[in-house]
Amino acid sequence: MPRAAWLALIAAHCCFAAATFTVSGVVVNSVTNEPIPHALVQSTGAEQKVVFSGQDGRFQMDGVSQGTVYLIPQKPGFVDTGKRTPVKVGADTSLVTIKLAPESSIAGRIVDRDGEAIEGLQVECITQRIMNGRKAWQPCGNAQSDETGNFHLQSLPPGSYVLRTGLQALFPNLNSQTDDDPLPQQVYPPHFYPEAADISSVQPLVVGPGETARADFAIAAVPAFRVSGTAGAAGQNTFGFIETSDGQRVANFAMNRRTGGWRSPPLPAGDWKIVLQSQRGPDSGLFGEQTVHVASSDIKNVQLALEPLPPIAVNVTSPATGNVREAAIQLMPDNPAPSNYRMYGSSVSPQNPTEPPAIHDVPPGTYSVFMLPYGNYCLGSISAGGVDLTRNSLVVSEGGQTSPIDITLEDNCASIQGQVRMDHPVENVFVILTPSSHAILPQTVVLQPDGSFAFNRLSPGDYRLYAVSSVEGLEYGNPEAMRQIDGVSVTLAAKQKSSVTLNLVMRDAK
Amino acid sequence: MIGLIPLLLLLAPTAPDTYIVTGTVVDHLQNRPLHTILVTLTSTQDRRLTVSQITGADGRFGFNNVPAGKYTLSAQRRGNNRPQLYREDGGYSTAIAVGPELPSQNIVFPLEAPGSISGTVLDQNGDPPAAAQVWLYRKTVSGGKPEIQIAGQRPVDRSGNFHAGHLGPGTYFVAVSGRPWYARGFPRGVGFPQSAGDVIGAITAPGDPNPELDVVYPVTYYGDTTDSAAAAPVNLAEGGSATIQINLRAVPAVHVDLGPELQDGPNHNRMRNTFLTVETIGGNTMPVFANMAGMNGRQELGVAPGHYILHTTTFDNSGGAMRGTMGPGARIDITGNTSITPGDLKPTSLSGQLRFEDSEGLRAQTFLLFLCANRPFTVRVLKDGSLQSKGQAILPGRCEVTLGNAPGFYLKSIAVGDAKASADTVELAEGVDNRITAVAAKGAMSELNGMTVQNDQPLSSAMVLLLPEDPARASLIRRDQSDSDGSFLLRDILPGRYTLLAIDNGKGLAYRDPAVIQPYLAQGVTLEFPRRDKTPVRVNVAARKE
Repeated sequence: MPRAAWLALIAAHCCFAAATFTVSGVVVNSVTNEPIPHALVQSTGAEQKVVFSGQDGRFQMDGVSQGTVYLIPQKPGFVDTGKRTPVKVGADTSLVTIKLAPESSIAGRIVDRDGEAIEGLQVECITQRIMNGRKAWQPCGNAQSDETGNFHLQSLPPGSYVLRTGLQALFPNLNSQTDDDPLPQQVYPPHFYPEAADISSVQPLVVGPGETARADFAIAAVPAFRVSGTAGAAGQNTFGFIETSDGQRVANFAMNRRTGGWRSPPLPAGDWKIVLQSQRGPDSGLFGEQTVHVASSDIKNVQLALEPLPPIAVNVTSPATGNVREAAIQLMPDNPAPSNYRMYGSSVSPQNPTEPPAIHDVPPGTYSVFMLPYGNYCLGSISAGGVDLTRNSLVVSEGGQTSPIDITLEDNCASIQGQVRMDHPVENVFVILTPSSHAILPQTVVLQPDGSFAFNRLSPGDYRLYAVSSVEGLEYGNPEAMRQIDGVSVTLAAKQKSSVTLNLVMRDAK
Repeated sequence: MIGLIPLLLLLAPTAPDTYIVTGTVVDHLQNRPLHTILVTLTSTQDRRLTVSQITGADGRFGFNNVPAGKYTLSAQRRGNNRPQLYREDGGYSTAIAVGPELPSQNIVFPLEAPGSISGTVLDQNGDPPAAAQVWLYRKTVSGGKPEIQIAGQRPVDRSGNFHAGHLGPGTYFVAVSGRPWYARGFPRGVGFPQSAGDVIGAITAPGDPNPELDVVYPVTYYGDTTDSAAAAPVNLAEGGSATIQINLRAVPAVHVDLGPELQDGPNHNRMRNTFLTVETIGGNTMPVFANMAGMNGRQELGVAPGHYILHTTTFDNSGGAMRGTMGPGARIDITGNTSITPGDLKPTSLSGQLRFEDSEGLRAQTFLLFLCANRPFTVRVLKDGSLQSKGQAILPGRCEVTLGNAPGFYLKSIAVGDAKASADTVELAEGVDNRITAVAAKGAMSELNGMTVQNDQPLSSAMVLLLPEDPARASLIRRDQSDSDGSFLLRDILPGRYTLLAIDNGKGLAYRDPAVIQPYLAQGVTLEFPRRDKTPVRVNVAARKE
């Protein structure tokens, strides 16, 4: 081939493959529709592009390859919701409008009964989020009051929030008090905003997009008293926590590793749970808790026994004999508190990778048990000590050995595919799959541009399917919450490939 | 009147001759009583002997069963305020003397009100910087010399706001270090000036760097200047508040190619961390944000053009545990894209030997304290008397030197290389290792007890200064503040001729300035040490001259 022809072929191939277009658009405030200047717009894909919007909010991204790209906007003061705007790039690409929601915040001032500022008080932000389809209180940030008593919780998405102040002594830097110190202690006890006795009765503060809500506290200092005692067999990393009767963790303290002695921070009158917990090596942690009633004096010589937290064994029976990594187990507390929300997962000992997995350091309580499949197998059965965990919670008792969790995996996975009927095109439609089994997590998928969806590797059993215009605030793992939404029931037999058609349910984000 | 808190209740089962300490905490500005103030009385002889009380609505406090002795008295507001000592000034305070016929009741404790500086930091697009810190500097007088000290560091929040509380009155300067929220670090492909042995072409860029994102903020001062000498002051009155705005401007980053990372062990067990600091107001330094990038094992920093000090810490885990060694700082000027081999830089460092005329003088923690252009740093003396600076960014020029943690000894002479020896100053050269030869000698250290008086009556809270005949010998100056009974004590006085002075209000007095101290010298007492007469000295208190 002559050199010129060869070069011409390369050039043609090059230019055909690199057909590019210009994507233009505008970035606007989702509340006011005002243009947002100097916002950064980034495209996803193999060749990422980055441009800024101009003073009029308009941007122009040149050299974008044909196909679908997602545009990600960023700008300080606006929420990064994680939403990506899909754009079909081609000769007829229309003007793209990207909406950014302004961040919200909560500002306030904390004063004492004399109206004097309280400095250094922690303000914890708590909100309800959907975790595994269920509402759960989650921390959403914290702030500290300055010497003028002011605090500001920033960068919040619009939503409903509860604030709680921490437990703090009048003079937090005063650490030199001895047991016999005659100086009376005073503390600012924890308070909720809006005012409530406990988190279950609080009416959350609703903050709109771009709003700065006001939350002022007036907190009177009250007399406080210390609780002290000993705990035998303290581990190297033993920590103490103070919890309210509804499980809110309000303070922590350190143990004397040498003597096993411990001493709480000053506590106001009332019932407090003293929790001691340690991690002692890879096998077994220690745990002890005791509720004390603080009245009008220090409480001394409290004996708090630390009991081992034996690991919960996980026995997996699988068609793939000897492979212990076909499934993982996750324990979620049935009534988690926002300050000590924690999931517990099964793990394989790095020292003995061939041994069955186990779950470590699980404190006493009741837990929902979920199986997360790793391989190509699905859940046949799951139980612990004869209790069917597809219908019941796992109870972990204090000081006792919890029965092993027995899982049977089957090579019989089923699948569902389907379509969603819509009167008019709707973006970001979600399809929800909720199993009847407690041990299988509900799932959500975003509807494909062609209106189809699919769920694969499903354990045989009963499911319900829903198509909704928004999952925001929807407790889709709660059958009571889903009762008012139209759905379709499906029973999957082993290896069945089911096909369903769903009607779209329009719902406002709440 | 609130109840009295017994001090001896804590530590002694029976009370010998004991006394009462009472008083009122008042607002320094308005003289009104302050409630809910934590007042603490602590023995100067035994720090464990301490007792606290919280003032009531009348601001009063009281301690009984207090044994004779001297006590520091402190008062602390609620929150994160630090305790203030009674009539505190420059690290000195007035102790309460307790004993027969000593007035220790109805003490009035004036508590200063804290001030604050708040503000906003935005760039030319109205955007707040990312991960920014505000640095506060305060004009002060330390050791009798005016200087500018770091007064704190505060984060800038996501809206660009900052707030610095607990500030005393005075003149402040404010600087901001941060980076644009959209800045990215891009490695540069080619085109750097090459230094010998560098293989610049080994850096491969993943794509064309976007110049709009390859930007940085220079360190910027209030007054919207990047020149520290042009920074605008913020004057803060006691209990006052100031609100300021600082405007940043992003500039294109210049790139510093630091060459390949250290990989000279078989398991790559040496690592290097290189970072930059910048010299700011008053000779202080602050770390700067750099857009970091690294490709193919090379390190690269993106910064604003300017003068920097480059620090290199080498980490080595060849012995099992990771150990970091910080090398001395080297000054560099960065005007454009450049390549630097950290090992080739010529830092300013110190090394040498300290010899004790009496070998028993050396202790485990003996050190030399250098004060160069008001910036102090210490160099530890090892068991064999050798010394070696580590990590410090040493300022060249004239430095005052004192001997630390060698009781009974003083610095007899110190010299750099072949230069003429001095008793307490050296001239350090830039870009070299300054070889120090120092001699410490045993001195006949004296103590001086005395009383500050006015109209023949003891006067408390006076500044007491013992000034050497040669005003240039700053290391010989001794200072105290008279206690509530007018008594004072000066320690570790070396032989020689001195002038003893007392001034009623020494707050912020730059007594090392000859022009400032000259008007007081005529009222001083001349003393020769060692003294034959060991009786306490009475010195008349001079009135402060403005």
